[in-house]
Amino acid sequence: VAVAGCSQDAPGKRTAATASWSATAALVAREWLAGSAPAPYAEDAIRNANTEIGTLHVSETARKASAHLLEAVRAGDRTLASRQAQILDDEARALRSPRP
Amino acid sequence: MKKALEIALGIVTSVGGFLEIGSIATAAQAGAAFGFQLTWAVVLGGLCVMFLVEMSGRIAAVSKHTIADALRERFGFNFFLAPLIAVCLVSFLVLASELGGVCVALEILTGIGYQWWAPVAAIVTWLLLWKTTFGFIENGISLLGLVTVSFVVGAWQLHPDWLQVGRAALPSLPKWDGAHYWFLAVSILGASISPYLFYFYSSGAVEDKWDEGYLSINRIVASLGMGFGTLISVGVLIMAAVLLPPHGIQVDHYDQLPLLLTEKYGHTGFLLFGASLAIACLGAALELSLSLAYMVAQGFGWNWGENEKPRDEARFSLTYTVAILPRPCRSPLDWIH
Repeated sequence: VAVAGCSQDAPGKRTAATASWSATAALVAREWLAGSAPAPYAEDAIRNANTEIGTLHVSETARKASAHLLEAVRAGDRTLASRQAQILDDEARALRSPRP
Repeated sequence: MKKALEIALGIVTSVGGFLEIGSIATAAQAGAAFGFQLTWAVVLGGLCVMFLVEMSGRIAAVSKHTIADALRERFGFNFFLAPLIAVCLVSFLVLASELGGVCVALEILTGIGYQWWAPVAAIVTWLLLWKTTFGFIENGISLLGLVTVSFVVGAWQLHPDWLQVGRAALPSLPKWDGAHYWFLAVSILGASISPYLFYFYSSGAVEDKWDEGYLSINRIVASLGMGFGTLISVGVLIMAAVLLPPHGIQVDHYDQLPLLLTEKYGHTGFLLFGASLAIACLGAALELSLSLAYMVAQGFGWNWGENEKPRDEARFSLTYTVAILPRPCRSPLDWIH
């Protein structure tokens, strides 16, 4: 634990974590849209992702998109959910790609 | 024929003993973060468990003593007290995480919060121990645990690069984030090599009245059974390594775990994951509770045995009751935190 704690490259780790949570929310939404994951699980997983993204303070786009995605799943709005999942996917990809 | 059946049941039982929430979570974390590279840690953990379990079964078969009995009689009670306290403390915490695993699985399957499932999980675990025999727990619950083979089938159907998986079975140095790599390697080994497994196995051998004639069965069960458990953990790691990195997903929360089977098998995969987690954790919780009671009862020289009626070994039954039932006062996950 001590070794892992000493290795923290805080900004890089936070960016990777935000990308991971954004991708998680997008994938869960896709599984929900495909009928593979039930709504209560999707809601829980996306709520957790939204909380984590909010705590990390890296991407406002990801925070807003995950909040809208959560509302869309709660309301059963498939069109909005699909759009927000795409935004989250794009944001995750952008966060993972090396910045100039 | 009887011996073949015992071997088959022993192998299946070993899966129940090997696979639990810790090994599923750490294998998935390792696969998502480092691809196949940490396969060696799972294999090494499996090998260590094979040898240790074989030795504990051999001690029981030859001397008719459990490990706890042997330790106390050979070194005296004062010496025995240190491992007793350490193992009880660790087992108590791990038991909380296994009951938590059952609750999380039920939350995933039903959508009802895990806190509400804590009393149900604790009471079901206790009732199974109170009402059933060692054979029922050993074979019945473990047979249900075969559902976890879905991870191996899933890994096979993903057609990973087997050459790369084979190479990763040998230890290698990390290419990036060394601290995280070694932290995960230690976590995998810690999740695999659980002390309760050896106390449970040797006590079970004494309960089943093993003698020298069982030495070959012990060897086969320990190697094939733990090998089978290791294979399932490797299946989890492969699935995580193939499915999650393309999305850039790291495993940081139990909510991300169902994606492993859901991504491959859709809704059936979702249900399979929930069932696998619930059964694996219930099996581990039963083994842990019994292991705790065995160790304490054997340490203090009380009557013990899951095949006896609770009134005939009241202090043994009271020990697992005390270990399990206070949990509903707070949720198992709160205990972990």
